[in-house]
Amino acid sequence: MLAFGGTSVRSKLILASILSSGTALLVVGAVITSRDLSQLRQALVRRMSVQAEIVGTNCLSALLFNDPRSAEATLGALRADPRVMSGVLYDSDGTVFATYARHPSIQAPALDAGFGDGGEEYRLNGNHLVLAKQVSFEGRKAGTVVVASDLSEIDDAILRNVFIVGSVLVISLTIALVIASWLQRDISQPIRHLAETARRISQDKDYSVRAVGERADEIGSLVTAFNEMLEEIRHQEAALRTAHDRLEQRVVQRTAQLQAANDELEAFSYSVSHDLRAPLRHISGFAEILKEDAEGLGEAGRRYLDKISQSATRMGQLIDDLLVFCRMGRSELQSASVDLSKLVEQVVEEAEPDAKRSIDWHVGDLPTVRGDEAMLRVVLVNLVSNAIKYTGKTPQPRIEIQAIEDGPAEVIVCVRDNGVGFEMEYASKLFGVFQRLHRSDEFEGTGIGLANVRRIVHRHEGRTWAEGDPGHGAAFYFSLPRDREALE
Amino acid sequence: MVAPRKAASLGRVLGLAVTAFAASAALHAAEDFSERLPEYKIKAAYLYYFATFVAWPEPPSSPDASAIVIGILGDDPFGDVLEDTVRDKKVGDRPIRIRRFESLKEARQSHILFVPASERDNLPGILSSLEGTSVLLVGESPGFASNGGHIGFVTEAKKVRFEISLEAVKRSGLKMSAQLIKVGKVVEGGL
Repeated sequence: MLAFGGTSVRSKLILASILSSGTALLVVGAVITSRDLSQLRQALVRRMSVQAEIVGTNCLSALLFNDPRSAEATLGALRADPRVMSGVLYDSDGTVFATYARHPSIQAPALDAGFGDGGEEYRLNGNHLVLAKQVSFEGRKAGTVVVASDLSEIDDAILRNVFIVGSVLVISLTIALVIASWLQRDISQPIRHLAETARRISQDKDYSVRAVGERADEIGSLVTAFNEMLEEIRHQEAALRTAHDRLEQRVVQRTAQLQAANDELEAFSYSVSHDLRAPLRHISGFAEILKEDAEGLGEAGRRYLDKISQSATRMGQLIDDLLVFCRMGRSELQSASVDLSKLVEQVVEEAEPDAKRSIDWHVGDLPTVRGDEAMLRVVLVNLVSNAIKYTGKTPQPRIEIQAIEDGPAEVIVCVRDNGVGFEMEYASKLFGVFQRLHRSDEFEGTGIGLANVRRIVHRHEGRTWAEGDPGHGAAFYFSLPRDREALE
Repeated sequence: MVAPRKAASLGRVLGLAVTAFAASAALHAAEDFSERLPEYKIKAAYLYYFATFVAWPEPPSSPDASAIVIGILGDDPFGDVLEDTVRDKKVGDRPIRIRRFESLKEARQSHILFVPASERDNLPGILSSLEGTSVLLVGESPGFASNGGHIGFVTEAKKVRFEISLEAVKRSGLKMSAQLIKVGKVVEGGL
């Protein structure tokens, strides 16, 4: 079965039945032939023995009365059996007494010393059977008859047997072939049907298809099990789909709710921020007016007025930032191809005059991405200005901006500085609104910058994260989906 | 009843007369066979063989009923040869006894009676005397079988052969094996 693993079940079944019946027939044929052979040989020996016995007995008087002519006449009776090729009568001394040969050319079988002394003896001499039989008279040896017989009869029988076995083999195998190809349908057809069904199912993913074949045998149970499995798959698939649909629905629901809540919150914070500006403007305005008529106030009073004025200004700044932040969430993305290299170049150029010191810039090759250029500018401005800000007290400031090519799906940009850095345990707080790790008199700012960065990157379906080491610097990362069109 | 007796005595007288001739003939024959076996040695063997190929209807009135009796009538040409030949031999279970008869009356007791050539002149008397008995008559005179005997030895090409008269055998009630008839020369014969 190993040699023809690739052939179909149909061919295998037919081949198996033909091989087995052929082998059985051959074995039977061989057994019968060999049995026939031995039987034929025995029969021949028996017949020759009888012939020799008859001839020997009839030659007894010729031997006794020394009459070779009579013996020759008796031996001549051997002519009646066409198998006997020659016969010789030896006298008791072992000299030839009389001979018979079917054809003059045939050599009479020689009598070896002692051959036939046991009464009867035979041997196969090439294609001849030579049989010697002692002729006795009153318990004494009077002579020996030696008969040589042709074995062509046995050869003919073998040939005949081989021919018969061959014919039977051919006929039986033909019948076996017909029966096998008729019977194998019963086995291979349902298997082929099953295989075809399985193939169709795996191709079409249609689990409602069923294999047919109501049978009591193993193939029947295979079909049943197959159908049950299909039923099970169909059930599970249906359940899965239901669960999936339900989940989807829930997600949509939740998203809508979340969106609603978010919108509400944004609207609320926008209006609150907006509404807060009017009273603040009053506070700030009246504080200025009050300062113009401040002669009546003491030194302390004027200092308080300045504080009020400063606080109002700062609060205004905070509210403005908050409004910007809200706008970042609300305004629509203007998606376009953005060359980050060019953008970084502009941002660095604009930022450098503010730094008022020499910074070691390292800007690597940056890719082109798809996004809102204005918003991405905000991201880079925030990150670059942060880097400049927090390297303010570093003797030899160094800022690196480079892309980390990481995977085909997204582009990662890293802005690294050697500034004051931060404790990694606060890394998660960095991107929160108004979250600050340093005091505002140490480093100015409202703490809204990184919150904006995160919001913008999220809106671009990217991620943000940071690494820091106090005293050694910080690295800010953001990822953006790769721009497939730009790649092409 | 009278004729046989007369014939017997006549035969004896005549026998004496021809003894010289027969002896010379025997001598002549013996010379011929000197290369092989002596003539009477062969004849002795043949007598024994005859006993094996012939069946007697009933054992003749013999004092030794179980034995096969080979008788020699008149002068014995065998000497010891016949005794030597049949010594320790049997026909079936039956031993063989050799007897020499002077009278035809006694000779009836034998199974095989050898009539030597010396009795040639008495043949008609001998044969007619034993007519009706089951004694196998073997002779060596020329034409023995043709003239009423059963088996007659002849010499052909220096070989001892024998003639058989089937009619005579039939008349005597003896059963002779076909094997024996086959090797003998069948002749017409009767009294």
